[in-house]
Amino acid sequence: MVAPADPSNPTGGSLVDSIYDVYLKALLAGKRAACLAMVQELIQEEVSLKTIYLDLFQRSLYQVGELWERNRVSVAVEHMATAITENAMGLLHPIIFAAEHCGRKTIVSCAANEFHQIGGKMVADFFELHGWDGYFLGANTPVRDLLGLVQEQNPDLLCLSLTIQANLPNLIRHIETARASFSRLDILVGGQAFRWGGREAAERFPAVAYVESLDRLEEIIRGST
Amino acid sequence: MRKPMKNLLLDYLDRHASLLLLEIAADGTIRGANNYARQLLGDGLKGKRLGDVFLDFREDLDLARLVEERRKPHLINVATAHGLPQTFHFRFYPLENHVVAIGEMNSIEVENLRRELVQVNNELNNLTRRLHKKNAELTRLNELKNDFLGMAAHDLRNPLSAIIGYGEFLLMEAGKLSRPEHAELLKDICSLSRFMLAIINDLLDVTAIEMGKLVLKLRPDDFSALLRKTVKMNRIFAEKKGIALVLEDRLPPEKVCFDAGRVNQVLNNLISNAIKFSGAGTRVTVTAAVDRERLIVSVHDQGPGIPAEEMSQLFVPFPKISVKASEKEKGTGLGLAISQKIIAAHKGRIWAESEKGKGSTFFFSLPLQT
Repeated sequence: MVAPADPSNPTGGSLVDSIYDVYLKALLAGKRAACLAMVQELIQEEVSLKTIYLDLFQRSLYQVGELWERNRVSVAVEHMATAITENAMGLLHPIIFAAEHCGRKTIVSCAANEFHQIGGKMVADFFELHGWDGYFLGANTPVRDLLGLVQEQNPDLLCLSLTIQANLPNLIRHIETARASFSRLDILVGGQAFRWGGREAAERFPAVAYVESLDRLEEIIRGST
Repeated sequence: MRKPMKNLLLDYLDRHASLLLLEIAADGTIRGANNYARQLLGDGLKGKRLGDVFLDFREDLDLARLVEERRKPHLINVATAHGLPQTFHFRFYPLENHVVAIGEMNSIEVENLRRELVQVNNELNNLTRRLHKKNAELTRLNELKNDFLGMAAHDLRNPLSAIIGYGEFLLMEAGKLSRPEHAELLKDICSLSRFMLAIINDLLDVTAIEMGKLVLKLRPDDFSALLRKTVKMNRIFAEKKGIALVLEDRLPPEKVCFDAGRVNQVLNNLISNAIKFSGAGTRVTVTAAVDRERLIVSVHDQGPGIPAEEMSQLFVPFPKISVKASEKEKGTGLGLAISQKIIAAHKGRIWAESEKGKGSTFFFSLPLQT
């Protein structure tokens, strides 16, 4: 996969490409310190958050997922890779939360029983980077907690993330409940699970839209800010 | 199963399988072990008692009963050679006049533990994210506050200066006023206006410092000369209250690198506070000396002292201190907070010692840079 050009740093994508194989190897070996050091180096080279998220984190985690599906790595390796990526995302917090705020808010959550949270967190971080308040609720969020935060924060958008197809009914329940309590709240849904369908099930509700990629999400954010 | 296959399996179990195989004699001692057991539990297994290897194995546990219950796995922790215990599911089988214990790693427990760890890691990362977010919000609010303070202070300072100017001019013409009490009112107007201006100037100072705009003009200078000048100026106020203001200068003649204007501000603050909280007939002593690589200044008064529980608040803005000035003089509440920032910017330290009824001593140190 060729890394897309990074407008803020034209050499950012090629820098990520140059270390990608070493990073993936370290990730699969569970070498946390080595992975974090590489990410730190990219930050110092001012590679954009978007490039690091898409071309390093997302790309490597998708690859780890494929290796696990093909039984080439164990679930322990997959868990470790996820944990390391979570830690690495923390290194970008100073950049994420330094953006000037535009006064708009979003809440990002995972469906009940959904333990894969990195995708949702990336979405929340993207919003923060573009000046929104991005509240992230984490994995396996009970609907009650989600509704409580929506009531408290009165966001402009609610984003729901789904990684495992089997959790689609839970996601639909989240949408139904949120729609019943907040009829005018715009809802975005997305995540890897939608590769196997489910978009229509979500979009049959009013003011619910499926977002297929972080690039598309960025267009939506820029359009609405 | 044919014999070659059996032999192959046996060889595999002995050399390569991740199963613990222990051959136990009737007296409870270990007679043999496979390769995995020897690697995990250490060499010298032969002759060891089961109780030495099985951490929660009780001596009264009946091997015969364990053999009878062989369909049921027993969860047992074993002491590994690395020191950390590991959990295995054991089944016990009779073999001639021995017992064979076969232990499998408790994969369900391990899987549960892993899942738990992953969740804990997720929660920790989520909490860290929330912390960073809150921190960023607080920083923005602080900047907003500083901007507001700065604007408000600037907008208030000019009119106040005008009020003070007009008041002082009118006081000069006090003899022409129709009623003598009007002169007193004018004095009050000037004095209160000056106090408000002092608060505004201090607020501007605090705002500038918090926004990182405190820039020190460090130059080699004569510290003793500054001390003498500041003490001389404050002696006028001290003598009005019947307080002796004394300087004990033990500094060497070499020049020291510091911002004279800002250090003067600190000295004035400490000395004027000491005078404020002292009564007639007492003494305020200013001492300066060098101690290793630091210049240390102390200002000691014989005032009422500060209660121990209030000491931690001294250097915060608007501290709630129960001690009152001896003649009810007012302070802005920002002097010590500003002094601390100035001294910290010099890479020095400011602190206080006090005892109720015995007075207080305020210290500050500056690194000696020539």
